[in-house]
Amino acid sequence: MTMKNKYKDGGQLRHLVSCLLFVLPAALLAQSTESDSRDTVYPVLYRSEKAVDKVSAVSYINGKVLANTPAPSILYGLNGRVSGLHLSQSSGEPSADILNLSLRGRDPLILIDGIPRATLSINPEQIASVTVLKDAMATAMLGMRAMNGAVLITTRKGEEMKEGFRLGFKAQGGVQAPTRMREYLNAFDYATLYNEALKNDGRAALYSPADLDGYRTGSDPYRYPNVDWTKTLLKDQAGFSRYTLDAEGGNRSTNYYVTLDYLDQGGLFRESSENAYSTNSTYRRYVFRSNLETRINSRFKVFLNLFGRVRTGNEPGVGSENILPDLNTTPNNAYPVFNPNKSLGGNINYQSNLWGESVRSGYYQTFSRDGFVDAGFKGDLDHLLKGWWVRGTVSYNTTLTQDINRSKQFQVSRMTLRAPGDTVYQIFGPDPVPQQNNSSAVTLRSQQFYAELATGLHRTSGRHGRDLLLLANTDQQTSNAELPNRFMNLSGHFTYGYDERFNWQIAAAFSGNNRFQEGHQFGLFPTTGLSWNLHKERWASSWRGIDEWKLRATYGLTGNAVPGYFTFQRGFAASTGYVFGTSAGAVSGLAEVAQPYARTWEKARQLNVGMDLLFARKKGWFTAEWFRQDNADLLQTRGFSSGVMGIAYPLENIGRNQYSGVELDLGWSGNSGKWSYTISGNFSSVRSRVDFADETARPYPWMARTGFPVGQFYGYQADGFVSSAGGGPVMEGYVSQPGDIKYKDLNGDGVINLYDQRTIGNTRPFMFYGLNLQLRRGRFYADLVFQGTVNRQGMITGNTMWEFQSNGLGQAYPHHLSRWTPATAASASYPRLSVGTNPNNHVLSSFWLQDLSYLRLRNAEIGYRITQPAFLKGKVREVRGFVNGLNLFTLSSFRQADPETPLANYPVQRVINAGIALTL
Amino acid sequence: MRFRKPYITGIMAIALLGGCQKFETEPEETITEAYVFDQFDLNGTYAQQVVNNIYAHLNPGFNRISNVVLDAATDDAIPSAITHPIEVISKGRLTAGNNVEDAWGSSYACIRKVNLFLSKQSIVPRDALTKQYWRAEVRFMRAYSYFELIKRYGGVPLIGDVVYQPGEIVGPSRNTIDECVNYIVRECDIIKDSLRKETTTEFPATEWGKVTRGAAMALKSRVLLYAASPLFNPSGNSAKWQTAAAASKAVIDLGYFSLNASFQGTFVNRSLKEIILAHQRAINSDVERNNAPVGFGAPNLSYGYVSPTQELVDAFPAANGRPITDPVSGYVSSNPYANRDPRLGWTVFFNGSRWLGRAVETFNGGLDRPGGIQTQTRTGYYMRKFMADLSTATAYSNQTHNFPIFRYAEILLNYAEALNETGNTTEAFNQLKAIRLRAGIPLGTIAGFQHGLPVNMTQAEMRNVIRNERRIELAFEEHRFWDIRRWKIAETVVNREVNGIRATQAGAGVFTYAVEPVDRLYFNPQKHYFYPIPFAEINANPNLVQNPGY
Repeated sequence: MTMKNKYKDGGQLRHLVSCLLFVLPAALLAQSTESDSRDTVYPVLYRSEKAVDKVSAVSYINGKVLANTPAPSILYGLNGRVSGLHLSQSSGEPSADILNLSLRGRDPLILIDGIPRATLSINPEQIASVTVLKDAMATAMLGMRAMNGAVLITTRKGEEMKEGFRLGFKAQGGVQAPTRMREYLNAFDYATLYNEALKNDGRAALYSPADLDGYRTGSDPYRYPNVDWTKTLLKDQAGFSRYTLDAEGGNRSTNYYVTLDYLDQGGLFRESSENAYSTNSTYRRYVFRSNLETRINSRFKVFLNLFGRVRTGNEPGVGSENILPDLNTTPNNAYPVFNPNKSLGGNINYQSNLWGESVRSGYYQTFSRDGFVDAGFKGDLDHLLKGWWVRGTVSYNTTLTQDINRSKQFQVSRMTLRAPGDTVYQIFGPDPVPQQNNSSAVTLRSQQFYAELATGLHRTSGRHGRDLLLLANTDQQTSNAELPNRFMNLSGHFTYGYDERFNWQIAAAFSGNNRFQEGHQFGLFPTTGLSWNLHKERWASSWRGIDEWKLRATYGLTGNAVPGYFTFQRGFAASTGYVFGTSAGAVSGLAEVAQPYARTWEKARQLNVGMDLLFARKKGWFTAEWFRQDNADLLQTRGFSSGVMGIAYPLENIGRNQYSGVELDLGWSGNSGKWSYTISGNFSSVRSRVDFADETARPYPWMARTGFPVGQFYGYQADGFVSSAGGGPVMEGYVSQPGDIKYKDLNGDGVINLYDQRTIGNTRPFMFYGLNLQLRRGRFYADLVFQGTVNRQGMITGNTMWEFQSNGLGQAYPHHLSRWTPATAASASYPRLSVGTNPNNHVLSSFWLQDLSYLRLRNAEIGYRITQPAFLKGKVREVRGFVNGLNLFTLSSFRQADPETPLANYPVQRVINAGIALTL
Repeated sequence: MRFRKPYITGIMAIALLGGCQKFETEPEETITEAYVFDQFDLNGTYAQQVVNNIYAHLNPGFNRISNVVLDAATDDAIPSAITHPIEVISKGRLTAGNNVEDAWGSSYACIRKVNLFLSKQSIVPRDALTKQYWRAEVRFMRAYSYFELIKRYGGVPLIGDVVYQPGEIVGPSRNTIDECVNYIVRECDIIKDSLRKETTTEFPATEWGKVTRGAAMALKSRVLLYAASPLFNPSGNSAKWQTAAAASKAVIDLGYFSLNASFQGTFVNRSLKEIILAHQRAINSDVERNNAPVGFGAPNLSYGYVSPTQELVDAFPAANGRPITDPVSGYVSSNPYANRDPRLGWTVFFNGSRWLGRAVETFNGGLDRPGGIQTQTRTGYYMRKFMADLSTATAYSNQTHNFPIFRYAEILLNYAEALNETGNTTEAFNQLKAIRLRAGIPLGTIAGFQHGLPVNMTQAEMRNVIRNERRIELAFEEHRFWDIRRWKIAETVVNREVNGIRATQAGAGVFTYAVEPVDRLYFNPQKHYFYPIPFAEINANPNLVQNPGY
């Protein structure tokens, strides 16, 4: 792999300029003059670092802002606040850890207090800081887990304070409601469009004029049901509450932090008074943490961190994940909720009544328990060797998840009126109905054992500063009955600083994993970086307005271990069996499962160039990063994988791609009159390119995949609508009707087939940005985070977009009202309707590619803070009232559903929350 | 080092402990190749399981394509659902990327399993006879898989005994159809005497379902019949018909197989002299539940996934064997199901058929054709073939439902067809008489006719009769779909509108019947006689040449 610069088109420069244009106006709003110290010390991997010594690309967030976001996972609070890090929600369901992270386009490793673990559903009060480690230098010591970057979460340890201790209590509660619910057609529109679709397909109408009239008037809701299933099943909003108690303190020998937190998140399902138990989807969480550090003599400290968490979830017996998708496949006229005889409605096509699934399917509970213990020591051995220290940590983490299944089944019936007075009910579903389940199973037992031993030297002599860190660690994770997944690292980090002008760092990890084949388990991952503080140069002293100016660059080799489960072993596994003998005895079958392949780790060469600037007496700051990451040995299936082989091809270390991009951060702190404020913006752009994918020979150049972004969409290029029957070009073998989608016939053979597929949608880099505004005036404060994306697209297909899917049994949506008809041929925005999956219109094409870019008021908090309130007679140090919210406001051109999660079944929630916090 | 504080030493010791315990470095639970083909496995248990898994590649038949039968892509039936994946084939939209009935990967998967087994079986210390049967059975499955390939794609790569190794470039080119046919035939010839013979000692009840000598010979009979047919024999080489006739005759000459007394009973009994090879399954009621009329509620819920066409119903003669178009047949269009070939009633449900104690109501608004959105027959018929006789039962019960791969009636029809093409109409006629007699059509008393068939037919007349007999005798057994291709008649019979019946209740028990078009089928003779080789395969192997038109 080469590292030649392939960017000569000036594309990066264009991004840089466009970013500046975006962020600058924000900074210009600011006018005032209070200095904000940027000499922060922040945690980085296994160390802490002063901003002045910074070499690598890291972003640091003080944990305090995370509590402004009313959500179970602490990650929500990061959204829009960190450049390079994009978070997207995949569901709004009450539970946890359902955010997808993307750091510079890759999936980062999450560490809590330096230990790889992703326990993110915890109360934010316990978070001291979050450091996002973006480049090779920042993650070098992670070795073969460094390639995708890392998010380092550090918990509060308590600090020495003159009051001795602080006790905090916080209570908050709010409501959550979907940002946007899908809307469906009413029964009359549905039936009307259904008839039209059948007519388009050359079939007879299904609904007679009398039927349509029945749906329109609603005169007989049993024969002509028109059920708004969303309203029937779901409430408009659900509750959210959280109570937190925390205490911290410290003196010269001991410091501690303790917290206890309870969170209760309600679900949207309506319940029925017929049940003594809850069938709603709810989530309750109890978190406990105690961090204690104490000095045992003048040289040694020991620490003990305890963490416990209990989570309980409840949901309807069939599972909310099974009910909500059915909203997209159950038309309003599918069946009545109840029949006249009080039985649940249903029929042969809809054998499960949605209301029955919600309240008559029993309930299902999940219990999850986590316990973490971290213990260790820190020693100062300065008396033996100047600047020598040691540190050791052991950690044991365990999780147990258990399900309690008390679900049950039910019957539905279809009423047929054969003649007046002759009503026949046909039963569907289990007959007889089996007894309610009462089973319990442990679904996950996981354990992690982590041990780390570190030692180092820190010396300064004159202008020369030296800092050495050597570290050995092992991380062993065991899930259920599998053999452990064990990572082992020997790593080192050395910094040489000269006169606060130059800072040179070098780090290397000798890193291994036990699931690779023996003899090929370890690799070496070196990285180096250099920074130069220009403002410390004598010739820079005359610069006006520039307080600090740093240039830095890092370059390194990192790895990403995806060992799989001992993939080098050729295995057989139980497979389809057979039946022999006249007594039909079943016999077992055994078959080869996959080809063996001895994997190695994925690799990347990462280059990062950055610049930091503090200006206007440190009121303003600006950081720019440019990175390029050349990934190799990526696991993928070879393109030349022939079925004649007779067995599936394994994933092989063959892929190559490249990620590159820029990140900009710009901010200004100041005050104006009684107002003090901080305004900051960040912008990130990620471009990716597939360099090698073992692509097969393509007969036409437009079919190529190599050279395009990772995850690029491919499909047909829509080209308007067919105007007369038989027109085209359309799909091969398809007999077109007016109003069908036409496609571009790229190879000119008159028909549309696989040879006419190409990249569709834009190939521009994915961009995202955040804007943060913090205001304070006296007791009042506000914190707003806007977050947005550019060039975000999605292929929206299937039963949430297309009409009458599921072989004609699916739903239809208001956007189908603007379908093509002969009368609306000029203005139609949707092809002519058809029943079922139309082989020409319902294929992956540019027609269904949606712009899912959005701008969101992601998070806002306003509050009022009273210190030493007189009305509480000095017993309380501070009282604070606040109102905050999540996903408050969204701008997007996509209308059908929430643009962030257009395919989610459980809608993303808008949360509005209020609370009070006391500090004693 | 001066660790004077004992607790610090203790912490260090705990930290180091994790590295000191003995542990399993590679999972021992993996069933490795050495474990499967084991020189100490005296019973050959795992090897036998590999063979069992190879057997599972026999065509499962029945409702295997998204709940419908393959013949729902012919003029015999259409899917009841208003749209269905199989329409990719029946409506002429087949391309290299959308084949819902692709067998490329699964056939080569079977071939690999066989070759792997053959290359390793010698290690297993079972007795020689067992291993002889194993080898012959899996080689049959390999030949069978090649036949599954050539009837779909034409000539395909023959890979012999190769087991491709990981990382190997797999790029064989296609062999010709004749080469493939010769390979299959040669394999059948080689293995036939190594297989079990149909005798009580070699083929006891416990082994029922295993591939026998007769199965290998039946495969040869069918392969040669196909190879002689117009699609595979464009030059009309009549010697191929001779060979085909001889191969069928050889099965008959075994003297073991015979027609079962009951036509309906052939499909619900496990061990019969008519069944040469079937895909064996445990007893169940899925054929009834998937195909019986939709008017039955739980616990007899039925889905009626397949709607047989009026064309199929009309192909059944009257009870005396005469076509219903013949005035002497006794067919009355106002009472169309009375006085018909008994096989009709065992093949389709029509209005008035008896099922679970009531009359089937496929008239407009009847229980089994209620109208509205629910999936129901689109033709007025439901498929009944393969079902147990539950006319008077009250509930479904588990039945034997083995899908017949080869049965003796087919061999007779293969023989008749090959004979007729060689000009021997007389001997061909004798085969038909046996089929019709078993079907319940008597010899009859009309002069010049036997079992409703004229005694002195020309070769062309006889050809049509044989084709029609094949259609009705073997309906829904996955013959029609391939027959109309090898006869090259698909471009007419499945390139047209197909019809159903609209029954209307005129009074209690009184119905009027009207034929109505229900669907339009498409077939492009320029390309659809063969399937396309899957797009991904063409891409992955530059040596493969795609079939014309795709």
